[in-house]
Amino acid sequence: MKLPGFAANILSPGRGLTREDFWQDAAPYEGMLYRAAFQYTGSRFDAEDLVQETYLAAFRSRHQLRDRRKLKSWLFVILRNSFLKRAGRQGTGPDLAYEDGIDYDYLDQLAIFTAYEDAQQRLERKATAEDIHQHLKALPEHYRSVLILYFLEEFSYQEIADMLEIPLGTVMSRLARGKQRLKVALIRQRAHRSSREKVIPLSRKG
Amino acid sequence: MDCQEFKRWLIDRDDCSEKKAQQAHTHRARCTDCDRLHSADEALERTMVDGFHSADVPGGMARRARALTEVVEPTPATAWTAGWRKVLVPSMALGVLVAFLIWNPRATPLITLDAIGTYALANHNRADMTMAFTADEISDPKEWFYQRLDFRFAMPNLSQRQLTFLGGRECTLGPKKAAYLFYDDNGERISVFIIPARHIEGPLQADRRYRIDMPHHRVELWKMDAMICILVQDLTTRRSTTT
Repeated sequence: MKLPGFAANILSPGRGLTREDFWQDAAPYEGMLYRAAFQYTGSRFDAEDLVQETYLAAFRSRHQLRDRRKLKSWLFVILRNSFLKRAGRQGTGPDLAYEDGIDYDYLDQLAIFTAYEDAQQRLERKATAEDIHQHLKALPEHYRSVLILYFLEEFSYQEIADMLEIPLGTVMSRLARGKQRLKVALIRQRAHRSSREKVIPLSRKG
Repeated sequence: MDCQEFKRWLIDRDDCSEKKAQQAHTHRARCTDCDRLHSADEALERTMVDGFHSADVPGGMARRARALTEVVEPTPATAWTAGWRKVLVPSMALGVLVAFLIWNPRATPLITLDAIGTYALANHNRADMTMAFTADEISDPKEWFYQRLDFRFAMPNLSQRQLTFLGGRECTLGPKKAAYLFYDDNGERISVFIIPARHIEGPLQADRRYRIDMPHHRVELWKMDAMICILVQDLTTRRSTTT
């Protein structure tokens, strides 16, 4: 359906993208934005809402985008800021004060787990987006964003550093630690699941 | 490379050189434990990648956002010339109405025709009243509304006026829930609200149209089965009006 242009030129024309250009360029990123939003919010409805909010905010300030090639990362930054703002407003924000320093001994846990007879089979078991979100939300936001950018869109370290405005080295260390924590969580989930699966229900008598 | 070095490589492999990767490969070939660790780590990486990408993406988000920018925003001319009136006049009218309802000792839960017009006008002019769906996204708008409101209604037939249905959302008219339908009239937005007639004070005849003239707007009401339809039209953007 062709919508009428009630307000074809409402916003300040600026020097950046035109209305048509913006939607032509930005629309293909809705999948990327939605998946990222889902990992932030954990809810399909909230994720959809966040994507819409992101598009509207980006559209309104599209004249601020100087380089069209950076539209994708710019959209992500807006999405993340919208999420942080929303999370702060709801009082359920991510734990930004959480500090590094906990050693999860990833390799030790992996070594123990691989000793199971069917370890590989259990590790290959698919994880849903909900599973990933459950583990991600336990991590501080600064790990989450790096992991989302890395796994969802395979942004380079430098791109991630630019987007999050942190040094390259910090991106690398957060990614390494974040991945380990996520892997530990997945191992624990699989160990927990398989131990649950072995429980034999006892029938009550008399 | 020994086992300790291999483990260190496994942790930092994203940042290690090709040469290190080659050494690790060689070590793996002769160390079963390290090979098993490597395979398990790879499996976890794959699980993570798949997990991140496994969310089913609902379509039409960009299209819906785009529709919102086209429906909600007033034209520059309207914003400049009628902006203050659009906000001030309905706000004042609403203020008077609220004060009346609060201080009127005989105030009833039923909404008067004047009040319904004011509420509809206020909704029509609210910038945050955006469409929850567009016409091409929902095959049966009646059902969409029925799931969200506690009443069912037939879509009003406005083809004689050559209005094109654009989309809709739920809203409230004062204390009562209502359906909000967006229509296009040759590039101008027309709002149509639908609310059960039982919420409105005074009987309306089924074969009549009622008109409330508001500042810079025209509000029309008519009865459709057990529903009342309220149409709001902005006169400031119209060159000629039709009734």
